[in-house]
Amino acid sequence: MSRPLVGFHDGCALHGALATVAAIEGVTPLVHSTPGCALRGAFATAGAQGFRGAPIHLSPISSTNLAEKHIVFGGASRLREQIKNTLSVLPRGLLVVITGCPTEMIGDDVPAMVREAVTQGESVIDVGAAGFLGSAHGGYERVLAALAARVDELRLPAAPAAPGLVNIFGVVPRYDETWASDLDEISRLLAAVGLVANPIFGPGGGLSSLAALPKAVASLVLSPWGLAPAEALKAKAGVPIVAVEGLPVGADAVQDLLRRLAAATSLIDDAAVERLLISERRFEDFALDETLLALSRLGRRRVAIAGNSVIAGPIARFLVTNLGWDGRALVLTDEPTGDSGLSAFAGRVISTADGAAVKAAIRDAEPDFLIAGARYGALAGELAIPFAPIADLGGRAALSGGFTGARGVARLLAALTAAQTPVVETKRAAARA
Amino acid sequence: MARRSRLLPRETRLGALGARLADAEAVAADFAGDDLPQKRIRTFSEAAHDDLSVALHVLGLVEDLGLVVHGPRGCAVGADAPLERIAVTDLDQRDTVLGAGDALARALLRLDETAGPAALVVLGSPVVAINNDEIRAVVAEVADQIGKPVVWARTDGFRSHIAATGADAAADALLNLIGAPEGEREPDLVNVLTCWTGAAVDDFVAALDSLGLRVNLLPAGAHVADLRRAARASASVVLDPDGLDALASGLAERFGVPVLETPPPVGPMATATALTGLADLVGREIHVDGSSPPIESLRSRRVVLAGPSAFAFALSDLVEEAGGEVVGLTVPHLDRSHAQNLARFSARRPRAQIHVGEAQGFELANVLQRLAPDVVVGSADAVAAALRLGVPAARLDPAAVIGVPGARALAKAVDDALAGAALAARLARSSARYSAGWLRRSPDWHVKLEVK
Repeated sequence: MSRPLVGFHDGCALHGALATVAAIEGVTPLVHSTPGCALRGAFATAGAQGFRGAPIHLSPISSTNLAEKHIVFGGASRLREQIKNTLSVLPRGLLVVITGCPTEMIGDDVPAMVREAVTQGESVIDVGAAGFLGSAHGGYERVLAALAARVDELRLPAAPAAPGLVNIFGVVPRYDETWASDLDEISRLLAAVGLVANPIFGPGGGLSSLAALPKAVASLVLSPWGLAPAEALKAKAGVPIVAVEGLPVGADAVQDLLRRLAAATSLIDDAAVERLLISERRFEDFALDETLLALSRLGRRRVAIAGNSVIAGPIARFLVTNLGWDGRALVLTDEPTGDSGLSAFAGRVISTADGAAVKAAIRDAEPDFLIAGARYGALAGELAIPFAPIADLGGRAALSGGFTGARGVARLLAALTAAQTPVVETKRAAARA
Repeated sequence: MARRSRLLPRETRLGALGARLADAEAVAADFAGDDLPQKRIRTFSEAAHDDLSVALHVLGLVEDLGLVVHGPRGCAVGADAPLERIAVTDLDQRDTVLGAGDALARALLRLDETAGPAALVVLGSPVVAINNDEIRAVVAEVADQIGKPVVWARTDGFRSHIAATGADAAADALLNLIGAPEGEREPDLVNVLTCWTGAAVDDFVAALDSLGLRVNLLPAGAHVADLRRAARASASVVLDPDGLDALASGLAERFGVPVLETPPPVGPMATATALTGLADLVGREIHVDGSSPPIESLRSRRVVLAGPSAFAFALSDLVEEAGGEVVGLTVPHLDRSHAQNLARFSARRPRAQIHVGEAQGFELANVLQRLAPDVVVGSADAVAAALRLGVPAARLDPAAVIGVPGARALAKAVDDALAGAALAARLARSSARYSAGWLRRSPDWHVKLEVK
């Protein structure tokens, strides 16, 4: 039974699938649904523009924009037409047809339309990601699991040999706001110990990244959402899975991640690991020294943290185990299922995408410091406590806001020590009065 | 209660077109006769907006209105309104089979409890429209239960291909919130209907203040109580006709509030016309200098303008008054309400290209590379498309050019675009977003007359 969500800000399965596909260079999303479905998701991850025009941060999104007649009589022929014309208007690569709620409800035979194109030698795949199937993170899981499971059907250009390749799963483009920055830092860390990251998304990924998935020596799973694609690859190509609890925030977490990867791959050079860890610790020490005065001024804080599981849990762990802070509440807004294993780092761990419930959990925890997305700044103002935003609404955090490794810790410390108590915004109407 | 007729889509009500590319003369001819223009469709399209998104945007501007989107969770995202005022029923697969009236009631009650809005609006999604879920009865029941107005904005996501139909649905909902007229007409009260806010709008309001008028600004920044006041106003002036024409005409039809028939007050001349007209309408006197100085950087420049349709025509007047040559307009849709402006524009620039289509970047890129204008001014996506082709461009939001200072805002945008052409040169070196084959084809290749 559905339950109402108040103050919900993430997207649906279709939006997550779309963001995932659009973040892979050379892959074109084709949304088979009514108008509005795709753009609501696109604008949600970029800051709204009053729903005007196209989202300029994304590559073009092909869409059937179904009309009433298609709802009544079926939209399969419209999809056939759109597939054909997409292949002529947009650069060739892989075309991923993502179906929305209306087409799932009316029962269009999407696989048949896709098969037609495939039999003509085109690289096309379909993924069912109706919004009613769940969250944006769930959409990522669906689309990436489908791509991983069917990678040899995709007619991708052969991937060059890459010894020591490690697939990175579990960071959801745009919905995990610091995604590009974190993938970049993970790639740098792995390169330092002789491994090659396969980030799939952003400038380090692309079609060749997809083609290389089965050739990896391991799949590194950073959140529960990466498990399904990793398992699909394990079943298909025997790629072992290394699962960790979120992004490695800080030198200790990097050490743990490398230890687990080393156990799975036996390709890591121990001396290189030691050199990297020394460098990471020195960087973290430097950041702590630089901010110690401000940290001492802040004192030990009773902190509430709200965010997606890939980052919120690791930040809580770092704050408790390295700064000695008191984790009062940890709210996982991507709603992962199962035991998060994070209860040691917060008095209360809850999983909810409901904005009102997030706020209630934060209030109940009576924190004196809040770490959350920028949208919760007003709540900090209301509670009169300092606020450190871990992401912004405009997508800029993707470029430089990651929290991975010692460099991530430096950004975290900078954010903590720069945190201020937001001024509650005066209502425009009150100002007018 | 008698069932009200279905909200008419803009295609039916005003003969709206969402897909068209031709010179101004040909497009003007579409709307010259009594018949509705022939409907055109696309055989390839990029993701477009729907009525639900636009309605969500317009209704979200009323600051104490709670919004409940009845659909899957993704249907409620992307709005500008504060999230605490928005709820979604978050329908799952089971609901799509068995219906979800209970879910709607629960969402309304929960939002009322958490946000305490003055009134609530339910917005329909494609899922509940396909399922034909009962909304009216739930709305009435919850309104009784909580003792507050609850209305239904009749959006569905697919019956109209003109997203502005959502503004009509929003207007219908806002008018229903007003209910029966209360109190006497207020002779010095004027409604300014706008979705836009900012300093230029504030200046325009100040100009009305100087006429001795009290301004009721809505829906941007308004409260539900202001909607009720709107029914007592002596006139309405519309800054954003594409978004709020239906609200203005509804206020006129249901409550007898006359509408000032004038283009948006963009720049000195149009502002003078609007203020003079409004002064006449309410029996005041005003003198506004409507002269528009030439803009040196625009002289003999070939310009493409992009933005909401009525705004784009108003901006084209300002550009031409300032010495520029408008060689193209790209607008989300055209309908009969634009016929007069379109005819006037066509008489002046019959060969200028008019592109009708929102968020259709493939057509825009193709059109712009053929027109090769000196500068593109207007909406964010058109500016991005131009810059990626190496054409200097600058954003100019409608809110920035309202009123007499609009000419200065235009001049600054054009000056900045031309002086900052390095960005266009840099972006033009990035990889192409559309195939070379497409860019060689006619830009209206995928716009076809609909076969009935």
